[in-house]
Amino acid sequence: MPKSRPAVLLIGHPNSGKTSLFNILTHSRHKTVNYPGSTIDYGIGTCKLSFESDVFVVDTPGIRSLLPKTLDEEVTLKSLYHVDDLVASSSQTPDLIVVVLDGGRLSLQLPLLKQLKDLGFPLMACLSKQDLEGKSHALFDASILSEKLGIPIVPVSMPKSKGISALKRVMSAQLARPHLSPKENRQLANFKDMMAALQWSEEICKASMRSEKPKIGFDLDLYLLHPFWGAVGFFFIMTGLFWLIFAAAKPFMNGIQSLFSTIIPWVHMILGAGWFSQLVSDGILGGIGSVLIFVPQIFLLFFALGLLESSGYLARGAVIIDRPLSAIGLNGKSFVPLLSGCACAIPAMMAARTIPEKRARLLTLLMIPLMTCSARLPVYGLLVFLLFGQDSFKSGLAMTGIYISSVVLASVIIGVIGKFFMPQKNHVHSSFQIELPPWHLPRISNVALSAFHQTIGFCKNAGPIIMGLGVCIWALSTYPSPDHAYIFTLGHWIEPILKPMGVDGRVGIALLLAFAAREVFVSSLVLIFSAGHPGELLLSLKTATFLGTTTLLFTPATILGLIVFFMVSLQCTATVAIARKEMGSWRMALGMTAGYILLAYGLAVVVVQGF
Amino acid sequence: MGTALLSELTTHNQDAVITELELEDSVKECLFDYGFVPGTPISFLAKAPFGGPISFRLRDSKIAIRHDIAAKIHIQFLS
Repeated sequence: MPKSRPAVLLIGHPNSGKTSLFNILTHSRHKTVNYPGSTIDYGIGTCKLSFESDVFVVDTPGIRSLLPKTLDEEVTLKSLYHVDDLVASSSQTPDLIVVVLDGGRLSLQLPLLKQLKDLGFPLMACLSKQDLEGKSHALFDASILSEKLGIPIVPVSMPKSKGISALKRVMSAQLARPHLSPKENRQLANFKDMMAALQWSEEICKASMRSEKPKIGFDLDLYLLHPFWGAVGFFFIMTGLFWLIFAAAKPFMNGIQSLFSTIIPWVHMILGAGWFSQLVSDGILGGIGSVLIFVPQIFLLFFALGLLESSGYLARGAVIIDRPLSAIGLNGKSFVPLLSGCACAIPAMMAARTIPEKRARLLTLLMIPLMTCSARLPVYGLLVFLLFGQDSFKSGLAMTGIYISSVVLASVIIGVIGKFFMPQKNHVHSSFQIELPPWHLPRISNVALSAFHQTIGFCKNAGPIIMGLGVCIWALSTYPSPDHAYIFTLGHWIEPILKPMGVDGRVGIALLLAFAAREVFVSSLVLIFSAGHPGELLLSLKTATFLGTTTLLFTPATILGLIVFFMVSLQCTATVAIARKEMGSWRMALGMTAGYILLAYGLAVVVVQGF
Repeated sequence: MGTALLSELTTHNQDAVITELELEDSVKECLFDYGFVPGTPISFLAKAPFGGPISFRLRDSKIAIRHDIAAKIHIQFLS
């Protein structure tokens, strides 16, 4: 049992600077914890307040009031009364709450502070974002504010870590004071109270105002949210993001790949022959390698999204795409998860937690596996190569075509699912409200740190699944003997099913192996058709015929059929596992998987037969 | 000085005040948290492409809401 320490909760409106404060207070010692049964990540760390006292600091998702309206607000509210579930704290309620106030938009935030105070929580506040555009405009006088509100308030400047030692001193002093336990959170406010609270808040703001908020002459939003230029900007920003994910990750991915192709034979040599050596080098190390290869891409995706997030653009993107997405039952807030789905469905599904409407969130979860994830790229690369050979212009056009048609196909599928399988019950008012945060120049170190932690979280989540499966595939393709492995037997069994798709059992084996990871389809084809002569891969594939006949195996029709199959088919077990977690139901996750595999097969057969 | 719906506030440099929210309680509560309370000054910021959400400035912040919601919020123009 770890030693119990006082628990300090950081509470505040979304985007008020809680996480920045958290990072400063806890240095690099913080980690992300999945709160059990919840859908939102808490940040938990420790902070040394003085020589002899350490405290737990808990970063919470932003809330706007103590009347929970969404899932994440409910979860944050739980931490107010059950903080001992999160950290080894001696009391159920936090020993101190630091309300993080955004000095740039103070009046809307004081009602929350008042609610917490009225409940009797041990409270203090820090006033952040007072310095706009590099100049330290103290908009509000912290001492007057403190006097009016009856709690200690410390002004801090996050980018320069100014005021942090003063903040820590006040935190120590507040923790040393005895406090009563807070009241239960009952129906706190009704509509009239909210109006009164805002009026009260505005009076306090006026009384403690030191200088007027400087007027900002130029506003990017006039262009980036413009009916025409907004759409143009959206297109260019998205293109840039994809370039970053797909182009910049490549050298790192190649590096990891060659690292593993060095390590694996080396391990093989040390352990000698035998099943154990094979299990370790091929099954386990191969499994780990196939996870690690995608880590640079995942990191860069989080990094790019972090840049967009801290700049403030994601909120604008969500606004621009809200209308087109709502046509198929989604929400503007589906934008970010779908965007992530273009790299990997796993973090994308986690990102869908922010979508307010349940139906839109489910439809988004259903749409994510249909996005062109990075694992599909090598598959399309090979198939397009078979179709157009070295013609780079046609190949490029084909790849673009694949991207666009998969978005269109996904929209049609989701539109149909939404209309026929998940009809809107009664007309509820659409819910899409989003606050557009002020524009910021992103702080690279913060974005990188947060991307790093998200990447570690991803590895911990998906790693064991991918590794375990790697061992299974290894066993199936090794026993009873490599030439007559179980997986070949399976290939023969499924051959009749594959005939309508215009391919034979050998391609079937590759399709089967692709259920471990889609890109395995490419390496399996290499193994099966060219038997260790990678240089001849294309030649042997182009001239491959059905066993014992002269009928060509890879014709434009079968290639197109395979492309369509990969567009729709859900072959990624990690995606199924995360879908079950996010949908909260095995039935739905497995239903979706089976549905997409059958639909993929059906569409592929239609394409091949109709060609 | 005239009254209108928030969705009709489409020009810059024209200030208005929210007078009434003609919405169900759950939506109202949500909007209250964003500061959409009767008596609040509000001004137009931008209209998204494809007839998407409309962005407004109110209480030091910028909020985007959908057209159908804005069409249920009553405002009064300030001269």
